[in-house]
Amino acid sequence: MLYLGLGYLGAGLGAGLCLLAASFGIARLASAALEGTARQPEAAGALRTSMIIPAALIEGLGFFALVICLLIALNLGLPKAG
Amino acid sequence: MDFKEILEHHILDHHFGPHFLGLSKHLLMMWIAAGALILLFKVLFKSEGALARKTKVVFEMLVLFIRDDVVVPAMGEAGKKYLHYFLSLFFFILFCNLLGLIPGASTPTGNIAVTATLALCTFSLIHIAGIREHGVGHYIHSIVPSGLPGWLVPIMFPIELIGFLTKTFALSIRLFMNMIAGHIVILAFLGLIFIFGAMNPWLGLATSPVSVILSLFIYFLELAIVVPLQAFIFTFLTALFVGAAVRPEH
Repeated sequence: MLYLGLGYLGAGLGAGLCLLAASFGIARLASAALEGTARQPEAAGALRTSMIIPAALIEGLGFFALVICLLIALNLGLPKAG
Repeated sequence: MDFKEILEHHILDHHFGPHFLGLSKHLLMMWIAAGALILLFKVLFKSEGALARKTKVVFEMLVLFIRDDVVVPAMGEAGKKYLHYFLSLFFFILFCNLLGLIPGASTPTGNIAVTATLALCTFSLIHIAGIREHGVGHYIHSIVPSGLPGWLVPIMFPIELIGFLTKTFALSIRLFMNMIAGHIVILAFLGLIFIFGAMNPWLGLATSPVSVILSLFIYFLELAIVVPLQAFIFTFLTALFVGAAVRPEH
């Protein structure tokens, strides 16, 4: 019973950590884009376009870790071998 | 035999040896998306009615955006040969993603098999386009970036090969998880109503407006941002990888 609880704990903590990391990365990206727009408002369109692509890529990375956590959480109830 | 028998025993559970090739909901949704695309691009755009003119404006904007801002910058002028594939890819993924937002329908791209197939199409297009442009020997030579010292090439070559597999895997997982995550969040918000309702019916009733408004918010976020963005990202990364194979930077 303990190992089951620890497994769920690990999955939950992992999901939270990967969310933390992904949001930190995208927040840095968004703050850089906003700062650039504030300094030079006519570059807003170009900055917005080149902000969208790294945002989706970083989000994709966050989803990799999330899919691992989901796989852990959904497969913990496997029947014992033997 | 009648229609019910044909449907149940030949279409819905069609087996090809040990593999299950029956008609599933995702397959039906993909046919609907493909049918909508054919209807839109072949039929509606050849007519001159008022509705056709209005939808033509919107879709011309999208087509020109794909051609001028995605394919040609990534692949050069040679990219116009592959434009039909990229346009089909973008609009197919867009329509498949949008179908998931209709209640009662399901997302075809929320199936890992569908996104893995699309990513494998990208993978084969990279190699086919590279071999078509440069020939087999020169293409294999151009997998490794040029200008490396000689002892580094045997290390870089397996790394680049693994890089192809990683890029394919990443493409499929990114699209799949973006679609699934949106639906899971909506399901979680709506499930809160039932969780609270099991404790106390009045509590469940009180949770429903909050829950419905939250899931509507996620719904609009997904409709306006996630769906077009994921279709665009898939097409853009495909164009980038095929462009890198077609004209390796010297």
